[in-house]
Amino acid sequence: MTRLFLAMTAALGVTLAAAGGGALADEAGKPAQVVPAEASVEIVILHATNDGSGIDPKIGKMPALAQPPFSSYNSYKLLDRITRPLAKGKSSTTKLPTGRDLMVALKDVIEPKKKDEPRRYVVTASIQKPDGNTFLPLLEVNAKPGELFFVVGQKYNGGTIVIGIKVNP
Amino acid sequence: MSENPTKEVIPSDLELMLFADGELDGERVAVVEAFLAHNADARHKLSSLGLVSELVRERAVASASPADDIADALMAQIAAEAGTNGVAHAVPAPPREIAASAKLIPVASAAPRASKPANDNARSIFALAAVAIAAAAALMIWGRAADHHPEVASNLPAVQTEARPIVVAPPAPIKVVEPVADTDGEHGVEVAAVDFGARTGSIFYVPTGSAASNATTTVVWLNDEAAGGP
Repeated sequence: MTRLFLAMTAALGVTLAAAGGGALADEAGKPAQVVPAEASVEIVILHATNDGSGIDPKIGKMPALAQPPFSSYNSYKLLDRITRPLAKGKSSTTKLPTGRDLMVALKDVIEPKKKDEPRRYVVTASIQKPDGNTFLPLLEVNAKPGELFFVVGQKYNGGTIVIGIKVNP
Repeated sequence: MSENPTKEVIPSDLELMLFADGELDGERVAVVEAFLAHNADARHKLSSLGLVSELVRERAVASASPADDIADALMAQIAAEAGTNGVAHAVPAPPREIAASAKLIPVASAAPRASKPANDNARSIFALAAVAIAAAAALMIWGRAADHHPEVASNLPAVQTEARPIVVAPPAPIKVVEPVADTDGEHGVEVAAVDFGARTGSIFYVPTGSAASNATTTVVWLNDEAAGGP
């Protein structure tokens, strides 16, 4: 009786382990997908003020600027637009008008679960002060290609610096 | 008229059997012993009777289970400690020569079993089985969890929210608007982790498209009050 019980227990354990391991095996069994290790990042630097000049036409179509919290400033001026290559595991540094350094890095590229979905880019950003301290220690986002996100808040010339970051394949 | 002295001197087979089992009366024991001392045939018969008794005893002992031993020993101990005759009286006095045959008395069947089961290793068997099942289940859960990539990492700030129409006067502390239910559960840019350091900040998902599209723009807004310089 005891041997029968032990045998049944062992069989159950092996079955469950096989079921759990099957998921691992399925995942491990997937062929390695070729993920592009490089992309490019477009960085748009704006100066937000309330000087009444409106939105700089050079900025282009950026509907978010008319929405809160951006609408708390009535004027946006394009200071710089930079495109840099973005290699996986390497950071790209951009000097900001405030003298600080914006560092953007491609951390990972996630393949979509469905065929009709785009891959997503895991991007990290940080802003370093000239004295070595950090203004923004870490921001990590999971972005679709071509989607813009903003980092706002650095005081500059009576206004605020608005940084737009967009990852392109 | 007097009793037959031969009958008194020569013990019957029954008396020999009783003698062998130690159940013969005291005064006849001396007679049988005297008869045996002078009669080789009687001694041979007695030894045969003893041999048969021994065989029966051994077979009975061999067929008894260890649980009976434990139960018998326990009941004997209870009877001895309690000084009660509740159980002990049901046990006949063992024969003089076969005291070990007390094991054969079915006292255990009438008395309750000991609290500790005879097969005590059953607990360890059940524990082993539970560990095996738990390990297998954990492995299965781990395998399933590996299928899901974490899209939201730790260190999310407490101020994370979604924003619809808000009124904020930057760079003053950002007012956090009422969270809006996310209809599709996925933004173009999801904040996975953020560390504002010594500052405060907010995360906004600003709607930029039509209500049907649910398009949003992700905004991380920091308070530069603590900057203290460039």
